[in-house]
Amino acid sequence: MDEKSYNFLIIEDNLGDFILIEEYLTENILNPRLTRAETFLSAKKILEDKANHFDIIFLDLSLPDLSGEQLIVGVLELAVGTPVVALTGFSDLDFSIKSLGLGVSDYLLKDELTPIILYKSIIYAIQRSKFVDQIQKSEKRYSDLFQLSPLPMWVYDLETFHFLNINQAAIAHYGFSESEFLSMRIHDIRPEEDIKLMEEAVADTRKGIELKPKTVFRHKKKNGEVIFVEATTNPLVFNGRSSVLVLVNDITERLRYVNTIEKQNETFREIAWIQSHVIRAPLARLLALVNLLETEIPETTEECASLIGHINDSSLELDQIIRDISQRLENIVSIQKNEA
Amino acid sequence: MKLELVLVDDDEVLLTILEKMFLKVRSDVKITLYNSGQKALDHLTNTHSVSGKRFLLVDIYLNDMSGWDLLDELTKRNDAASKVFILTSSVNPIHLETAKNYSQVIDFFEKPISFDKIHRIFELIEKE
Repeated sequence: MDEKSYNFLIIEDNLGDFILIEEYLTENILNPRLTRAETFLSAKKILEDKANHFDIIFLDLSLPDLSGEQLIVGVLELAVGTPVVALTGFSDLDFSIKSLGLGVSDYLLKDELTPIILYKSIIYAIQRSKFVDQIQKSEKRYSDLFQLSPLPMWVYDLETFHFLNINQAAIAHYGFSESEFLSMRIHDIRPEEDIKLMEEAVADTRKGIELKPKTVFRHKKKNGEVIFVEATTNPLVFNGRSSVLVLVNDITERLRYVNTIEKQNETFREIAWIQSHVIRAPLARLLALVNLLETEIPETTEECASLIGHINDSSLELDQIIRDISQRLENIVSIQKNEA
Repeated sequence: MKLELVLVDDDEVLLTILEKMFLKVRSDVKITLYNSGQKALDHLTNTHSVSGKRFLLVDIYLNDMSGWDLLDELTKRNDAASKVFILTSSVNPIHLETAKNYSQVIDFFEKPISFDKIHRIFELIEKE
């Protein structure tokens, strides 16, 4: 005897059938809790009440107010995840089979119903429902990872180059809407001159050669802006198609920043060179001149000699300052070189 | 047999100062001045050293080439007669290291030139 507590909703207008089900249930389940609805409308009210929770719903396919496909769709919508088992007569057999395609967990022929068949159907439907729920949650997790990724991601068809799936970040970043993306090929986000490069990369992927992670490509946004991106790709099968999952990281800003720094460093090296050579050249000339001057004027007065001495000292002092600045600049330049 | 000196520097004023200073220390020297590396190289190709040796005073930064280019060219030409003093306004020590890689370089001087340095150059020439 199954001692677990089960909550059943039985949507059945025929009292005889309801009593039969109730009887059969009690044969294998110690304490089944049953709620009965006689019409679709009353079932709707019960299901819409959030206080109610059911493990399984039994549904008679012909009710006074609704029947057939409409009834199944209506109840499944309200059931949100709770397994629904259809109860039918022989005349509805074809339709019962069809109902499985609509999302019904199982169908039971009332005339062939036995306690054990009913019980088996319940256990099966509940377990299957739990399993489906898990798969759906797992699928949602992966879908969320894709959709909620802050980095643009998409899946493209390895054969046709068409976008097959695209995430929100890509839509926001590239400016194309989802439907625009889905009608485009990956060529459409490349600058004209880079298409050959892209085709080579795809050809490699087709041969099974993996793209080096973070390979840098140029992409084109909807507004024509060309960006530099690091792309990481992974082959996968998407909806039965041989595809590639692409994750990109826009590094345009970073490159621009690095570029600015490199330009500044270049200017710095120029200043270091000017400091070391250009500024020192006339100073060196001046010092040589002073040296020459001392010997050129042999009968110089003491005052004149002292003046020349001052010029010499000042020049040497200036030379020392230039050397100090040069030294510092050289240190910075050599640090930059080492880091590069 | 006069000692041959070839002064190469793109600073023409300095060239005249250098000439004056060298002649002040020793008047029996044949000095030629060049304000470009190419002109100096042409001179070395077109004339032969009488004594078998000639001494160059070369700046590292020349307008048309670097002092190193000039040294490379001399090496390429197997010019064994030309011995070189480097005279540079650069205070970057890396240049001294580079100079050591050239066998024809006798010594390395930082500008400014002074009579002391000129005396030293003549001393070194005597030893060659």
